[in-house]
Amino acid sequence: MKNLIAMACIAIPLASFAKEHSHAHGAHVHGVAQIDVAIEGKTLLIALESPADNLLGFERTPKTEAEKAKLKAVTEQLKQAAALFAPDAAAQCKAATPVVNMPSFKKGEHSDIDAEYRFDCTSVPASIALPLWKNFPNFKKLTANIASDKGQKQVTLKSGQNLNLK
Amino acid sequence: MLKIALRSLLNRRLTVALAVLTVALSVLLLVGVERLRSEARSSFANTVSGTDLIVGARTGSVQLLLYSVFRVGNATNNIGWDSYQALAKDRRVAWTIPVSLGDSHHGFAVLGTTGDYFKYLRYGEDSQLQFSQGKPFEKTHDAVLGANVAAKMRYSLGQNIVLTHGSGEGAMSEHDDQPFTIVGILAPTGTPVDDTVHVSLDGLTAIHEGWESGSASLLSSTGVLAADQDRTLPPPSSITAFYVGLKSRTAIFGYQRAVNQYSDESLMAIMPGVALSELWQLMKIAEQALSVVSGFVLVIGLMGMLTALLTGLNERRREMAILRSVGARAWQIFALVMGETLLLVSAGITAGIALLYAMLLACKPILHEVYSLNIAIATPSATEWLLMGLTLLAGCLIAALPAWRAYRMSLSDGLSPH
Repeated sequence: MKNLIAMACIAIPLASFAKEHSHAHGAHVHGVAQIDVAIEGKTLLIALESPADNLLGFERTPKTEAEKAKLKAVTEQLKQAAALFAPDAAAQCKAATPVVNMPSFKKGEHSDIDAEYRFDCTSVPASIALPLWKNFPNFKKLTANIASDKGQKQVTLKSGQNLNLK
Repeated sequence: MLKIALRSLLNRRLTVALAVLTVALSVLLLVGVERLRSEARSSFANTVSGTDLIVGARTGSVQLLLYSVFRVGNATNNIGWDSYQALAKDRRVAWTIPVSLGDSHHGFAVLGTTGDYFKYLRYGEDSQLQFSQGKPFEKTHDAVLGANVAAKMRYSLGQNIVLTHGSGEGAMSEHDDQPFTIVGILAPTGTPVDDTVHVSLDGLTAIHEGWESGSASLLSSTGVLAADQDRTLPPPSSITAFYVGLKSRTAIFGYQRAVNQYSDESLMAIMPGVALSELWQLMKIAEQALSVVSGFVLVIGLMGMLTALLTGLNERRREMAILRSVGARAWQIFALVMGETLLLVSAGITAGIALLYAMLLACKPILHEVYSLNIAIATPSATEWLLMGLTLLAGCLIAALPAWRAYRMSLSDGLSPH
């Protein structure tokens, strides 16, 4: 164990450099987003934090009519939990109204979109399918932080993969 | 035929034994590395359970986990007592355990905390800390020892111990004016708790009064401050970190955000399990390197066996020819050599695993004592079975070569001498 720790100590400066702000402001990397998944009893909570670019394709105040329409359409889409997350059918989850925070588009800043989705299920879901890969093809990678009664872990998902909760 | 084959093996027992030993040692290394890797992981994972978040000064998440839980490295910054009070009062919080590190006792970490540590800290699969002797600290100068500390230093209840300012070899000076009394000894947990001396936050505050300059002032070294045990102490100005248990798991991310955005101080809250996942990501390269090396050792072991078999084959031309003359078919010769090699590889694998278990049994106490690593003597895991299967498969492939040669030779050789 001491050797392992020693190895970790060598590697940590590298990691802390990369992860320093990941929780505070979210590392803003286009194509990458973070989801936080918490399961308690029969409640499933998913918080999405993503660069606006992944969803909108731009990160500034919409200028053209097309961009304005896109912003509106995406906002509507984000309000549909089923467009992003689909817990397995056996769990019979019902989505509550999501809380969606669209960016305010301040000048010279990267913009993030935050959204929180809540599901009330009859049993604990074993997996969550992610329609968001199809609906928002700009997502290339998801980092998922999971807290369930089986403990906590972090997994990285590539485009098309489901989130396994087992 | 089988009898003849066994006799033949017995006749070559030294070469055969060496070939089996090579395979056994390779398998020992291959499976041993995998076993240590998975055991180290579960040992780490068992250290934190039931804690939803750990809050500390803003650094890397892995670093915060290592110094606050595994006592590896040091905190870059502390948390102000006011911030701790404010964040602990949040309505989502069920309990908090403050931890204050920095002092030591003969190389063991000294951890300042509150009685909640014994109440709420969980390890393994939700196990609570148990006292093998005594009870939690109550008075300012009470100390509770981890199992290893008590065992290694041969301490018993009621004895007095002196804490050292600073940690490790470079520790500066002793707080010998204010000895602590051992009031409790914890049962072994297999986690860093075993190597820790626990005292109350008040205790730490008391011994550091008058130490603001970093060393003892006249006031503290003369024992004036220590004289009055029961005076009320001010709360500590800061702590190293605190563990948080929440009322509901679904509040984790909201509370984490609240801590990360806390305006009075730059703090961070990490999920210990997630930070461990990040740590494994970092260790992956080292682990893979180890696996690759042991894989190569296995290949070398099998190659060594192949060499021995092929050399042996030349000497056995006569044996094969006689077998043919008494009616053995060419394919039977093939099967004989093939079967023989597989038998050797299987014997090697079995011997390797037997060696591994023997070594684990022999080293278990040492691993536990020196590295705090608890190795369970369990049946092989799925991965380990897979490794053994792969070894056998590799053995099959290797066996085909001498078997094929024997098959060809027995056809062409006849009985004519060369």
